[in-house]
Amino acid sequence: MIKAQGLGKTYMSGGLPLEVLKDVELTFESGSLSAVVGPSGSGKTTLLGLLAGLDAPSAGRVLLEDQDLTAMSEDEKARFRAENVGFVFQTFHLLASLTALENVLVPLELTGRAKKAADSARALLERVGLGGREGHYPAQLSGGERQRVALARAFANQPRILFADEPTGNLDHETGLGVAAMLEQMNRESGTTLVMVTHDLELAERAERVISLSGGRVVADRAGSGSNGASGFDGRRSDEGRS
Amino acid sequence: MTSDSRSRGSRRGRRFALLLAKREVKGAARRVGVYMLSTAVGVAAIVSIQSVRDDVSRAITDGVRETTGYDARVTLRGDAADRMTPVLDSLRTAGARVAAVEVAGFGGMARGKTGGTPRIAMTNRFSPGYPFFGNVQTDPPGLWTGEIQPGEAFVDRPLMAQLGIAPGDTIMLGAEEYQVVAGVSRIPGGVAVLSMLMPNVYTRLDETAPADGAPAARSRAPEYRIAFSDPAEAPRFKEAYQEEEVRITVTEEVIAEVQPVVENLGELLAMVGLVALLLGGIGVASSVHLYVKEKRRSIAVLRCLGSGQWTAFWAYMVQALALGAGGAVVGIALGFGVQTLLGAALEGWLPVDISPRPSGRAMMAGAGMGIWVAAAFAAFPLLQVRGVSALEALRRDSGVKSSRAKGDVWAWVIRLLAGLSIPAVWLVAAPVWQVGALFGGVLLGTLGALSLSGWAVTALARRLTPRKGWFALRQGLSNLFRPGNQTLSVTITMGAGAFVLGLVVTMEAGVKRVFELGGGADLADVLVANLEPGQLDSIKALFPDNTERDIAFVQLGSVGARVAEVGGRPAEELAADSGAGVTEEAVLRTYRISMNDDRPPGVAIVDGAWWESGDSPAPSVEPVRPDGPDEAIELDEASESDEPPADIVTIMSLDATIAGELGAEVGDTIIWRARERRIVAEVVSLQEIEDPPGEIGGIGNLAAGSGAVAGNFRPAPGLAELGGGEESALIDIPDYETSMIVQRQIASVFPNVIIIDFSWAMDLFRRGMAAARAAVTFLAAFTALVGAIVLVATLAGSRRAREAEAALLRTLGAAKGQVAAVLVTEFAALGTLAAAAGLALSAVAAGPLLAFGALRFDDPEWGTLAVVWAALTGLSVLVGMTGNREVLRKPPLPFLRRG
Ligand SMILES: Nc1ncnc2c1ncn2[C@@H]1O[C@H](COP(=O)(O)OP(=O)(O)OP(=O)(O)O)[C@@H](O)[C@H]1O
Ligand SMILES: [Mg+2]
Repeated sequence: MIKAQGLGKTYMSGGLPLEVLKDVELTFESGSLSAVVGPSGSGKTTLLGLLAGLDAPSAGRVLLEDQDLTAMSEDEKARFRAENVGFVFQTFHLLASLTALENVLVPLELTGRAKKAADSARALLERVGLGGREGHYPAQLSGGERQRVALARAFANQPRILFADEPTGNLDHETGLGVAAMLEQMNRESGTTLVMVTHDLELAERAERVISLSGGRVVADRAGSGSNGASGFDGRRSDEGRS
Repeated sequence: MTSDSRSRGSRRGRRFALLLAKREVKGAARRVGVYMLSTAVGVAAIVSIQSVRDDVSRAITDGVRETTGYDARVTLRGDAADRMTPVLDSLRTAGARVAAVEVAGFGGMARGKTGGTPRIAMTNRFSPGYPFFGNVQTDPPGLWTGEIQPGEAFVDRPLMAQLGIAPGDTIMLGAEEYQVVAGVSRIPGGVAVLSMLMPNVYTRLDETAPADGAPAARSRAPEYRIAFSDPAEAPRFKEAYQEEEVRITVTEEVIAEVQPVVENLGELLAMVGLVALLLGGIGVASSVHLYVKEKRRSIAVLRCLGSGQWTAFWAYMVQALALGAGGAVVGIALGFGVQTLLGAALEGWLPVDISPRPSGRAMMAGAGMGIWVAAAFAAFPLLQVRGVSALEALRRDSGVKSSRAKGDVWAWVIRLLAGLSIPAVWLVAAPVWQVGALFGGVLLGTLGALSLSGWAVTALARRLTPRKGWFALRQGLSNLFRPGNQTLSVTITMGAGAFVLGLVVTMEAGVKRVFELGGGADLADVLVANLEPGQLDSIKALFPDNTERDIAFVQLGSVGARVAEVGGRPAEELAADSGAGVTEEAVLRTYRISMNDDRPPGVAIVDGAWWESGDSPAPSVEPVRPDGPDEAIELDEASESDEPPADIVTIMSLDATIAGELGAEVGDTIIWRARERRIVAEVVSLQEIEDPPGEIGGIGNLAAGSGAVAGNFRPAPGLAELGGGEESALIDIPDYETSMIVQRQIASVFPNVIIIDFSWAMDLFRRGMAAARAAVTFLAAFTALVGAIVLVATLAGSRRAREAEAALLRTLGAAKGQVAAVLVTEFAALGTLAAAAGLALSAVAAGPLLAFGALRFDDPEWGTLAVVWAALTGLSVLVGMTGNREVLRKPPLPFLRRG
């Protein structure tokens, strides 16, 4: 369960305070699948960053599985992330000096599980359609391919919570759907709590819940079509996989 | 497009370039700082070294004036006095101070009134006001009033000790009596090494004396010493009046003689300053290179938006020049700061006062160098800007090859100019172009070798990085060979820094070794000469408790002899009938005569000629049979009969002063008695001892030679054996007071022994070496600073990339310690390997380079180099960690957004 209480973020910009996020109250149940939508600059990435503990809020607090993120040290947050959180960035963020496979393995290296997990990492790459590209460096991959490596990396440590910032933003519709299906499948099979930012309204509509941000405020919070079990991202959505 | 619209377009382009330059500088404050610092520190090195050199050379010029006590010295011969008197008078009217000085070479014997043994002394007679510069230190202190009163004398302390007299006592110089005012422990004029070595007595020169003809008894005409109101007049004066019979020495020549080591060291320092600047240049180039790499994308976007190939180039060139100028200003200020500090540090060490003064020359050099470094070293990486393709906006690291830029001719012109300017400036700025070329060559070789090392390190890391094991170790090591690694650039810059540092450290050790050689037991404080067999053991026995006192033996190639006949007149007859300059004392004294085939340095022939090596030593008179059997004759072992041993026949060069005192001339034959043998020697030349060359290392020889009171024999059969029995010893005595006691004791027990005190010369020498060491130590510190800044510049270039990586690892859940371990591994490995490469190269290059500095070089200083190595590794880690400390502390998202 993720809980945001009175969450706010203010940047100093040119000497003036710029309130990017204001008084956000949100609760994400374990195993839920939520989409965050909103115009560019509305604070979506900022919100995700705060929820994942990648940045410190200016106001309010974040509770992850009943632990107060805002009270933790940077190292405690890092350890928490290593064990529980996956993150897919809008701009991929792969380590340029590592191959695709090595990138996927990093979270496992950090927790000392890499040796056993090399095969599953390879399988993950296969699943995102990059079988045979393990040895390539990010510079040798296309934007969409990099995005998929980032996805595989997010899956690698089987996180309980996964944040995805526009995971399909760089992909063609077809591939985008494939990626969305993977996310959904993970949510369904492993009970991963999924919070996803997207500009793709069609995609957002398939989530259980759609949260709309505008000017740093939550302006709408409604159920998506995913909530009635009628359909998932890939139209095969069902309730039995949820815990 | 019409030519008009084209020119309008290019004008707009230029304006845009300026605008862009301004904005870019604003946006990259930190990088601007590093860039400017690279230039500034290089410039500061040049400025401070140049300024300190100026300060030191000025201090030496001023100091030598104070050490010699005059600006010019005039020695007159023949009837030159008549010609020069009006000249000297006109100098006096023009404001110069002129003093007459008479130094009565080796002729004088001094003794206490109450009796005791006479000792050789040099009598110095000054007219009032001399010495013009510097202080006379007396004991008791403060008794020198600038003018010696008639009938009074000042006496060197060693001589007082040897004679056993005290202030207030009477000293006898020949037949004249003087009252001793005080002992002298230091007096200007000591630059003439010989006068430092001989014991001196100082009395007043009565200038009215020449009128009554009394000084005819002295063979030497007085010398004149001049102090000009502007010391620069001295060389001009010499230029105008130097001739056959007028010998003029100016202090500047003394400097040239005294300071060869300082000169060499100065050149070496200047070269290292240049190297520091070059390092700064590498810092500039590497920071520009990385900057361009980072900016490629924005440049590509600009290209997409339609800016020309040269627009971006000029935009960044303008930045580089402006920053270079800024760096030069900062560097000049910094340089003068260092100069002041260094001046203060050297103050107590140099025998002369250093007053730091801003040097215009140094300032100009600094400004020029700063802008040049900024432009020339930025040009190469900036030319890449032109090749940035618009495609790169679409795909970072796309692998798209830079497009062939239009107007490549100009690019090559720029490359050529920038490339050629480096060796050109290098050679022009080097104090001596050959030294510059040598250094340049060595440096070029070093850079090449470092590139190779960088490549080797990459290959080695690839091979040796373990596949399994600790993640941080693997990740850190593999960063050395992975795409976009900084191994080559860091190996070159840090290796170059390590190279120079290693060189300076070795240099410092070299200076230290010279210093130890001079200040240690090798060079003594006191020389005792003219020892007869067995006397040395007796002297040792005088100081039974001092087993540590080091007594070294020096065999002198000289003969101790008395005069038997001059020009056919027996000595007794001569002594009885003194007059016309001949003195009884001179005739009856024992002389030392050295044996030389070649004319020793410092010996000037004033009449006749030195013998050629092939000349036969045939005498012009028949050998004279020995005196009657009443002479004590010791039988030559080789001789089979009872006949006295045969005469030794040779030719000689006689000291001019002594020739006067003996009434001898060129062509006369003098018969000497040396032990039981007679030496029949024709005088073929008269000589004078010039102030010997200032090379202090030669003091030992000089001192030995100073026993050659009467001149030189040409070596002849049987002559060498005569000298064999006599010995000299050098005694190292820890302090001045002990030295006085030792000298006095030796003098009282062994009246025949000549005692020469070096302590002042040694003191001067030690202090000079200390100053040299201070300068080199300072340089080592400075080079370390430049190296550190260049390293910072290089590593800072990759900061963004490291930061993004560290932030990402943090995002993925890496603990602080893990990220830190990755960084430490990478920077430690990089630092260690680069430093090792640089230091190893410095050990190889040190020998030939130090030889130019006239420094001793035996072995690389492995111990110190190891310390430097460790320090550089530590520095690398420190810089790497400092650059990335924020990302370890702060939330990662802001760092990720930056990338
Ligand atoms: N370090 C910063 N300083 C000042 N303003 C910032 C900073 N970081 C982000 N912002 C501002 O915060 C606002 C929200 O940014 P955020 O990245 O969260 O938007 P977003 O909703 O993700 O937009 P998009 O859909 O375009 O990705 C933006 O207006 C951005 O300019
Ligand atoms: Mg965003």
